[in-house]
Amino acid sequence: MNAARRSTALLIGASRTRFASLRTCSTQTLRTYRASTNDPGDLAISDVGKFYEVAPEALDHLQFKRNLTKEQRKQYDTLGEYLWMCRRPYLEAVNCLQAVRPSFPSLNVVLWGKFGTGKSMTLFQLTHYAYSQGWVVLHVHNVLKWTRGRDEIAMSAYKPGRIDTPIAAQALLSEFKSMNTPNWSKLSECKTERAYEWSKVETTAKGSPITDIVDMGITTPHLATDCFGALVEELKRHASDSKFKLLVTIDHGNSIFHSTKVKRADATYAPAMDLSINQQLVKFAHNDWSNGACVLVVDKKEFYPSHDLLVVPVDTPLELLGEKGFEVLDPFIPIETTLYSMDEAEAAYSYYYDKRWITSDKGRSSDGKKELLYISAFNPYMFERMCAIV
Amino acid sequence: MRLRSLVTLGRMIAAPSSARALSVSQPLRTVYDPKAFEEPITDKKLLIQPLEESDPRNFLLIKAMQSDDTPVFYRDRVVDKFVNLCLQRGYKEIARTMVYEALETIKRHQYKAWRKAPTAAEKSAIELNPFVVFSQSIKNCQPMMKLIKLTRGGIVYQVPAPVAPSQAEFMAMKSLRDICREKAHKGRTSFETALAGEILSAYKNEGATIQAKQEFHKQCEANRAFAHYRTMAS
Repeated sequence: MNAARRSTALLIGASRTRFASLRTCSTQTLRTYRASTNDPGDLAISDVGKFYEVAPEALDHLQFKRNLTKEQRKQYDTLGEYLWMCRRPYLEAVNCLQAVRPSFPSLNVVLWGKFGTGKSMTLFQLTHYAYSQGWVVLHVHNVLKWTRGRDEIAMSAYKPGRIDTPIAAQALLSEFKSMNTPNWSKLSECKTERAYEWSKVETTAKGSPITDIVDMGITTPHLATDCFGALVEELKRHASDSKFKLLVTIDHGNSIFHSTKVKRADATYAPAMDLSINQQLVKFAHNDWSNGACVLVVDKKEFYPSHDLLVVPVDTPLELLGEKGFEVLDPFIPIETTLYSMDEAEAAYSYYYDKRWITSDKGRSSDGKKELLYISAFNPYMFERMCAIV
Repeated sequence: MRLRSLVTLGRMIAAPSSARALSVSQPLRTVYDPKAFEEPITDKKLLIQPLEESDPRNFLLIKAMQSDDTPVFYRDRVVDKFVNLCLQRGYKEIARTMVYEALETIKRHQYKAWRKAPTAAEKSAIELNPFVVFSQSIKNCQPMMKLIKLTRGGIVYQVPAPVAPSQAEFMAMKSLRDICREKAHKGRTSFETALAGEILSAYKNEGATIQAKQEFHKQCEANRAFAHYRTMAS
């Protein structure tokens, strides 16, 4: 744990207003930290800073073990329950998603914020919200996986010059299948618009279920990228025909528009837009479809190691997306994830206190509580890291 | 004349009768002028008390605080000492990360046992604080004797001798560290995993470090015949 160095730097960033309220914070009064409901759709503004419980079955379908961080996995394993905090950015995004309807063009939402403030967590909460509301969900765990990865590549048969990433595409398809288990029968009722000829042997006839495309991609990796492209088109079309509502969530979404480590035949690095999968994902950001939303996280990991505190890059969407990416996404709704407010931090502390996860006597005292909050500088990630040892 | 006075000064310095020998040696490498800097106060209770008027810290500059002197409530002397012992090539951040990660693993292990314990009595018997577990494990690994090398009649004997508590603690930590490094050699496992496992075993008086201590005790026992060499003049 690099707590000491990181927290010192974070401490500098902590706002002065919080220090002013130090005197007024009542320390030993344990707040009720549970939200009024566990239904992610019913959470209201009065539930901000409170925890709601998530059913383990839903998380298994959403493949949380793959999609959440190591720290979160460990925490759930240890505490044996799945409590998530309802925070303001989440409610803002849900508010946007509630506006989704067939008559409106698709929404673009961009989540941005400092390291450790919960961009990816909010994104995953949104996939859980959409899942629980019966939407079709397409979750992209990490774009850097194929732009920085060393997986094998293939030249596209569909369009010369494009590069296919079979392993990544296959993983996306199988994850899509897992995440939409309850919706699978509904999806299989949606038929393809045209006949697809993947290769000389493999074809999908016109009018066959779109789930066939997914299964084709999962079983034949070398066709997975093309299958994913076809799936994107079909999903957009069926969502616009109000067969279902569609949520696309992309973590590290700004990496779609930047550099890659994928080498072309002449040993130069391919630009990100040469990857077929990036081209296909960008199609969700275009406003030519309706009854759905595309939520992206912009992250500075594209440019810097995320834990780097020596360089202080800007976290804002324009800087992280670049002008090209900004133009593609524009117009979008930016939502900033922030540090804990005093109420949220106190609720998080109360939860750990109540579960006896804060074990030391000093940590359970009022002075220890103050130290924990201020040394972690109200950063949710740092607060969790601090609580993991004391 | 000048030379003579210098020689006199040298004799004065070397004089064994003086209460405190005057040191003329300069620290080899320091960014702080010893005449201009004083140590910082790191105790929070002392920090809020005013200094006396004659206190030199009123007039001198104060050194920067050491990174491991920050007054945080979870500071633990034993853990800090162990971190320094695990330090390699000055990468203290890495050493601290590894030790704290092991503490986290210990805490999670204990917490899971606590959560699954059916009765309140069983729950209260489980220590949840990883710092307490760590200190107790180090205490369990401390040897009761040490072996010193003495040459008698041209032969080097391993002679058992009493050991000071601070040295016993050092020996326990060093033994624990070496065993964990051995376990983590060539990436067989990570140092932090090995450390967590070893500490949890030592807490129950089991494991490789405890075994090493017992082996060491056996060696002391075997060499008890040489014990009188310690008092014999060479």
